[in-house]
Amino acid sequence: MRAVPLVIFSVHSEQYSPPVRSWKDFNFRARSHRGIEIALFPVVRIPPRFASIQSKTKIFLLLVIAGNFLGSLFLRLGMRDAGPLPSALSLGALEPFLNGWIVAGVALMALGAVSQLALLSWADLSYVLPLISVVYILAAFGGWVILHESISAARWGGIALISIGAVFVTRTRPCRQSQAVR
Amino acid sequence: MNWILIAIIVACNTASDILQCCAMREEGEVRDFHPSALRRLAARLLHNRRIIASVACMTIAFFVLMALLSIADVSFAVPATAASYLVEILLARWLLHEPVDWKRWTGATMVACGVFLLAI
Repeated sequence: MRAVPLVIFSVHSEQYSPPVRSWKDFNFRARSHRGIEIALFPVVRIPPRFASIQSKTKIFLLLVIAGNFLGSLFLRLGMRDAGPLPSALSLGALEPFLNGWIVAGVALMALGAVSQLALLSWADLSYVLPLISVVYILAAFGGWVILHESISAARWGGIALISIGAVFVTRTRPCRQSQAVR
Repeated sequence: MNWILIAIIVACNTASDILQCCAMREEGEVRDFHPSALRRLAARLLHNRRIIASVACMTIAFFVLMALLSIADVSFAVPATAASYLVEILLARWLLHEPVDWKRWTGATMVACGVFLLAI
């Protein structure tokens, strides 16, 4: 059996013991799949019958936030390399915009959108929306640290307000009582 | 003109999120994350009228935002979209009957104000 180094982020539905109830239970390990040992990739196993709504909500919120933040950061890096949008868009004019950063950015934003769709199947919209705004904070920090953009006092105030607001929302249940007690 | 475009963006974003939420509730909680189950779910969602309408709303919002950015500053366009947070939570309360307690109201209001400050 040969170890194939692959970087795959996949969410499997197999039953797995012990049940996943917190972040500490997540395993990053090699697994055997169709006779080939796949190593060096994180397998986040969510046994659907055991995973609590809170655990799933945390995972998918993380995916939405990471997808949107990294996606917008990559798009910014790609657009900075490509330059301003041409006034007349044609296939040829779009060529500089098909660089690796932009393709990766679009893929990550798509991951964020799909994760948000899944998240909304069990979590309240009024819970999800304020928490996704953490992306704004990460974008501000990303711009400051990676792109060397300046952050004004008003922006720091905004970051503080969003953080406190997000803490308020996390103090509530992610979904209606009837679902949460499942 | 700017305010009309902002109103269209907020309306489209709000409609898109509400439609997505309705469609996913209709579909039920996603419990099976096996690739084949996800493929089947994606195939069902691609035929869901609410999802199609939500994608159409997102597309309109995107192009209207592009139009707005061509005539207005980012520092004006982005904070204006924060208004959709409060509108969506109001609609989540009244249309989707979500339990929005004082903590969520406070949190959402602070987030909306924070996004506004972040973009100025």
